[in-house]
Amino acid sequence: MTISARSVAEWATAMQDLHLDGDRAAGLAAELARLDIAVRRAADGLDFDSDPARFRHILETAAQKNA
Amino acid sequence: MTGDPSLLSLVEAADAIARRRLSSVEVTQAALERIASWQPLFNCFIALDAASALARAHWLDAELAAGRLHGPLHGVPLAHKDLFYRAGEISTGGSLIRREWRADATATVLARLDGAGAIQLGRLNMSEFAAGATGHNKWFGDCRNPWNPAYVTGGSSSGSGAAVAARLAYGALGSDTGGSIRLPAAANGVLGLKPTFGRVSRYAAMPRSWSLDHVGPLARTAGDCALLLGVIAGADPEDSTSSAVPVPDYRAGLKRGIKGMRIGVFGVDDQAVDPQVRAALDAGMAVLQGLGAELRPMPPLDLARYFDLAEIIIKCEAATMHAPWLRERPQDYAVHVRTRMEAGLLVPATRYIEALSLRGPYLSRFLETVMADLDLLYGPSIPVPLPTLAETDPEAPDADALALMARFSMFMRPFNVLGLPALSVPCGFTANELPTAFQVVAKPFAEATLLAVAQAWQDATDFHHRLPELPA
Repeated sequence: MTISARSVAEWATAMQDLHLDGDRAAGLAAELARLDIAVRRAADGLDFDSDPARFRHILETAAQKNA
Repeated sequence: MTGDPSLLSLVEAADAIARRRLSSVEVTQAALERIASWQPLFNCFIALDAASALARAHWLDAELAAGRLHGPLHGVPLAHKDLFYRAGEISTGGSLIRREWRADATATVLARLDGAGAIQLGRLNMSEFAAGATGHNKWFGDCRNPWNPAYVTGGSSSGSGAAVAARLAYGALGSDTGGSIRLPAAANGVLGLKPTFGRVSRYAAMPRSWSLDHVGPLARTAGDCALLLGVIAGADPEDSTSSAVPVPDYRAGLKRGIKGMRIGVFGVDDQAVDPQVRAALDAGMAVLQGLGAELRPMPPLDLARYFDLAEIIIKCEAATMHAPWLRERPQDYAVHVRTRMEAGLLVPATRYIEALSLRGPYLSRFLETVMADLDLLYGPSIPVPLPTLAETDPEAPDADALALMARFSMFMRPFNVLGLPALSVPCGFTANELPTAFQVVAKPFAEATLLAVAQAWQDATDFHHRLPELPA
């Protein structure tokens, strides 16, 4: 599904009380579509147990290994 | 002692004060005199606290005379990006919105510098709300590069880079969400260290993105950086993201040399890195090899993958913090600052959490593959010769300026996403006579390795001794 300028403008008003003109909504639609596709594709590799908090654990575990 | 004490390194100044060859009042007065000459043209400071700096210098001299040395920074004047809070005092974040806002807490890093005897000369210029890679600031005026005031300083810690390069302060703190310590360090010809995520407390430092913000020093020499990092690093009960991994003695490890160090040189295509910068990087590689490092060519990094994650995370977190002002005071942001955040209001929460969740797997893979048999990575800081302020005016960007700005921080953000320590080291000058730099990246909490490389580099080269001159 494409992200249209109109859907962005409506979403911004409904969810964030933010009022965008047509040009700005179109610019944001393109930006959102690009980021959405990039992260959605990357996230295909995430498993069910993925947890953002693992990040710090990995940093600290690596420090112990390298000590 | 004879000569201008402002030209000493931080370590030399601290040593001279501790041995009572110089007083803190003398070095502070010298810094203030230098600031008086440079500030009108370069705009490094948002606010100068001359009276309180001198009062503290007098007090510290009296303390030393009474036999009380307060720490390794006793009597040394520093200055910091205007986003580190001090209770009861203004901290603007480089913004109109917080122009008169007073903090109700003191940043842990400032408290630690205070405890070590440092003096704060004032609050340094920065990009509005730490958003901007060039050093432009609509509300407080652009910070200008000490090597040539027509050129950018890099941002967002613009004043930190410029003030240290111009010898207005012996060192400075900055913050780095996508390169904001390393970019101004590279642009101004000083060292800039983004530590490992969790190494330095961010408590009471204005956030831009909780997940990607790092606090670290900008300084002239590896020894100066090591001294500052040693003071500010370590666990902080006020910052739940700070780490309890022990803090080594960074200064003790400086002279260990780099013989046998395995350095991966990350591949970059010719379109990404300007030939002038590449020539400086190649010359730097030859020096490191001559010092005994083992250089290994690496394939190019997938920069776009990290860049997109950083985009989502920064936009969502910044938009969350700024949402009330984005609705109620949009006119009080520079347009480019506001528009960079707005998308964050519209990204689905699941996409944001996916981006956060990807950091761990990406880091694991990076450590197990790219860094597995390496001590360090070596590559560009800013991949192009510095542009002028006029060429990159964010209030009137053209297509060329936007393309240039996208390249500016492309080698920075991956290491905010990965949380790895990274150091920008001056390594030459391009044809416009502005500095250029290389960047080294180490494994988690291996800041000492970065500093050892910088020390070896500075022992073998003289870029850190070169001095910008005040235009006639």
